[in-house]
Amino acid sequence: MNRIKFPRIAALLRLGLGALFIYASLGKIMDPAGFALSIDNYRMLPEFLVALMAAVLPWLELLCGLALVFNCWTPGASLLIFAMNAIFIIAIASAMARGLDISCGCFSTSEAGSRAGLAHLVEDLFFLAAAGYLYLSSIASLQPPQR
Amino acid sequence: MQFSRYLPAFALRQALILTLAALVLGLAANQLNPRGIAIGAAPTGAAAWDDSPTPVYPRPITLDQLQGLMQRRAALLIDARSREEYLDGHLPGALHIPFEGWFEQIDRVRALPHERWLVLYCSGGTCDLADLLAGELIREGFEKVAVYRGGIAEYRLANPLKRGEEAGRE
Repeated sequence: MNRIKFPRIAALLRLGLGALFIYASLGKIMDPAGFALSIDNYRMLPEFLVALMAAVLPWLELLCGLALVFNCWTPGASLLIFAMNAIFIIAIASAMARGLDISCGCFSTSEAGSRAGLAHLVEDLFFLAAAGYLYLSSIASLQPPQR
Repeated sequence: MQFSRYLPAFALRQALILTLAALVLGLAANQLNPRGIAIGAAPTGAAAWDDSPTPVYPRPITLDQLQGLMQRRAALLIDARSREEYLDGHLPGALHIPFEGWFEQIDRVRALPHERWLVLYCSGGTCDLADLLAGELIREGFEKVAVYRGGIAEYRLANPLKRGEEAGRE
């Protein structure tokens, strides 16, 4: 595994992704019922998991966002953001495949014009790549080189 | 080993602690939030209509339950789709309050009755306009809010739709 190659790009991605996740979490933390509706509309989870996810996921986004912004526990936070984005991508792709005409629920809970579709899928793929890059570069800088 | 090199223990430990912290904070904040949600509530869907209000979450309603409420005149139907779709065919007696731009009709929304069930619908199976509008009505303080998720798609299979404007239903 290589050492971090572009430290400025990594720092920019870390701050950008962190700020984005903090921003995305706030509206959902204020309105868990609205976020629960958005999750429920994907029709992928049973009711009790919908409520649990609506209560916990925004806080996970907030904590991971803060961790990235303050560059504290970046490996753990970027790993979680990578995993969350992978789940979002599966959810949006599955909603598109099933022809669901629903709002994304990505950044706020009452975004009428923001449907779960290709634009959000591409966006999440970009975030996935950014989180992956951040993760690999952060663990590389914390581990001794091999051999 | 290659695997532990890409998933080192310290990264997994951090991720686990962050997840546990989010779980604790999320559950605690939800408890303290007056608009928090019920976690682990039993799923609804019983055939009989439970008349208790629904303070934070719109109640799903089946076609049978809807027709029962319509017969008892206990429900006010609200079509959350666009004006063109509404004029093209809606449930008999349904008011038209489109989710897109609903706030422009805020006076009309606030004048809706609190004692009757407001049953919202949109095109059916794959739409969420009714759910979104239901969320806004609940935020406006309405407690008897239900969503007919079968929507137009299910209703029209067995029942005629009404075209054009509704007159004198408010």
